[in-house]
Amino acid sequence: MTGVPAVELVGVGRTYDASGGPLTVLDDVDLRIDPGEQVAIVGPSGSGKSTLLGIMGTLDTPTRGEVRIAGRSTAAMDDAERSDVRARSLGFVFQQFHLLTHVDAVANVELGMLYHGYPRSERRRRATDALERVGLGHRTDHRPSQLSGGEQQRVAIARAIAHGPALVLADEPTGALDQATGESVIELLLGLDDAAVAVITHDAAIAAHLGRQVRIQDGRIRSDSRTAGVGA
Amino acid sequence: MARLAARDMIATAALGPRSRPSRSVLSMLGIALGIATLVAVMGITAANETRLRLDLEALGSNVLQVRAGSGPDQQIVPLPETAPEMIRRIGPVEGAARVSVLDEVGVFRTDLVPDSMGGGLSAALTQVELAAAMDLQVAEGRWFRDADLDLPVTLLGARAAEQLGIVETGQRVWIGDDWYAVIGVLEPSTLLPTLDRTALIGDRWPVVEPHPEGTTIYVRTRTGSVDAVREVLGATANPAMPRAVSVSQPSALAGAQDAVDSTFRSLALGLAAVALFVGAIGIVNTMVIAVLERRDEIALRRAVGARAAQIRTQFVLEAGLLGLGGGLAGGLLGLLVSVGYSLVVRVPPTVDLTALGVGIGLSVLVGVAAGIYPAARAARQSPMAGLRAG
Repeated sequence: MTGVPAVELVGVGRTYDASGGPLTVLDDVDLRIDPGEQVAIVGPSGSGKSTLLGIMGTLDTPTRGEVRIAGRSTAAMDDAERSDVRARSLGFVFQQFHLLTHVDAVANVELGMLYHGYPRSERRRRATDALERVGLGHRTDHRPSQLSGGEQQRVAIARAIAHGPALVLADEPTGALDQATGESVIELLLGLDDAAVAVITHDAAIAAHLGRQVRIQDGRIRSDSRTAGVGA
Repeated sequence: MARLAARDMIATAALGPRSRPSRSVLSMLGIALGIATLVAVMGITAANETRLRLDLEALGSNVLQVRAGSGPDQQIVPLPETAPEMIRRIGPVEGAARVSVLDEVGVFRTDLVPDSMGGGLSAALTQVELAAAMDLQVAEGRWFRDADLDLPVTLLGARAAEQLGIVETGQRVWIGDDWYAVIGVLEPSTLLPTLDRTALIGDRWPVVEPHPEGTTIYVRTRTGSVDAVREVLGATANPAMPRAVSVSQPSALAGAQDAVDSTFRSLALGLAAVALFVGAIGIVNTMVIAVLERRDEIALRRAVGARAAQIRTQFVLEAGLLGLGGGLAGGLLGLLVSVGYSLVVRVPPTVDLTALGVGIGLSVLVGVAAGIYPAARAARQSPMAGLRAG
């Protein structure tokens, strides 16, 4: 692949100050995800997947190494700059959907663009459009409690893509859904956009939908189907 | 860049209270009570002041009496004939009129009763202006007109009419050496209680020349101008001999009542401050709990690009809105209490917009101040917290 990577991690490590001494959760991670690439990050519980996702999403800062989002190093950024990177370039999908329960679907999608700087009318237009793309154009005024789990996750996906991010980060997006619903949500997520997508999952069947699998264990990358040519 | 429009900020801050209305209302209670107390106390003390002023005016706190005094030779110096007219020209004087009591003139039902058997009633000469100046009310008939002043007609005080057995106007009474037609009967007057037992005659009707000692000019001033008027009364009434004019002391009641009222006000304002403080603690509690409960929401906002500062602003504003809600409710309640109290003490209800504005502004300030600590906690929360599946 050529061009500027959507995200690039170089020698990234993350150590927490735990009560029993320093706890290293990530160690010496090198990872590059190119524009449009779809990557599954797989590994057992406690392997450091979620920490990795947090660092790629600028929600967490590494203790070692460097993170570059669309070519820009986040090391020197302050909270406001990192927040702006998230608002513009990143989209998140979570296992538990994280929708606001007391507002409707379109307002939930709009919330994803609240801190982006779009005027109100533009937010509304993009939110309605995104809901159409996830097949919920007819349910824009439904509240989360009126939607099924799969529909709620579709709203969350609409929220993640409405502003056209360079990279969508999904943390166990199918974890709260049954098998069939999970498969359809993954298909939707992968078929939607030309954004790069990174999906954390411990489900090999889900991981198989994505073009590239990165296996992580004990805070280190054990295999990467792109560099090693080895499947998951 | 990624600044929120004011409208979006307010809408975001209102989301929390809107999604938990009953808790929000409860957390506004303390502030509401504080502001209600504040506004009500201001309203009640204002109503009390008005009531007091009206009462004191009814008791004559703004009435001065001018009499003839003695000159250097210890002789009584009569007031000049023009004195009432001169006094009326003093700016803050609302009315002035002369009353001259005729000691040796008896008042009787018929001409058959000997003078020595007078029933304690007296006659007095007066001017048309007396009724307006002293707020005299006529129970029966009518007050003097200018043309009556040189006719043998009389107005009787309430007790005098009763004692003389006068039941309707047009009946005659015997005053001095003449018959007088009764044209009216007065209501009892708190300002001039002696009129109750007096028969008033117009001062151009030649009965007898009054003694200078029996003559009083009643002067009513605007409230608050009593002392100023008092200063100039002597020189106005008798420019030639100001020191030979005797002017009464106004009532000292007003000062004492003011002191009582300000004690009440300090006490009640202290209570309002305590209520506001308790209200602030209530909002701090509500907001701390909200921040804990809304870890997920905070994390989500951070994930979609909210800066720490924007999270802080959101929660400070939210607390400010709680304060504003409490202030509006409390202000309304305080107004209702003030108006109700005004009606009870029978003074015109007034709305103290300054107290209301200060109260509502204060409640917003208290809310914002109460939100600072919880908002700082919300802003400090790690963006990672709350996002991972439990």
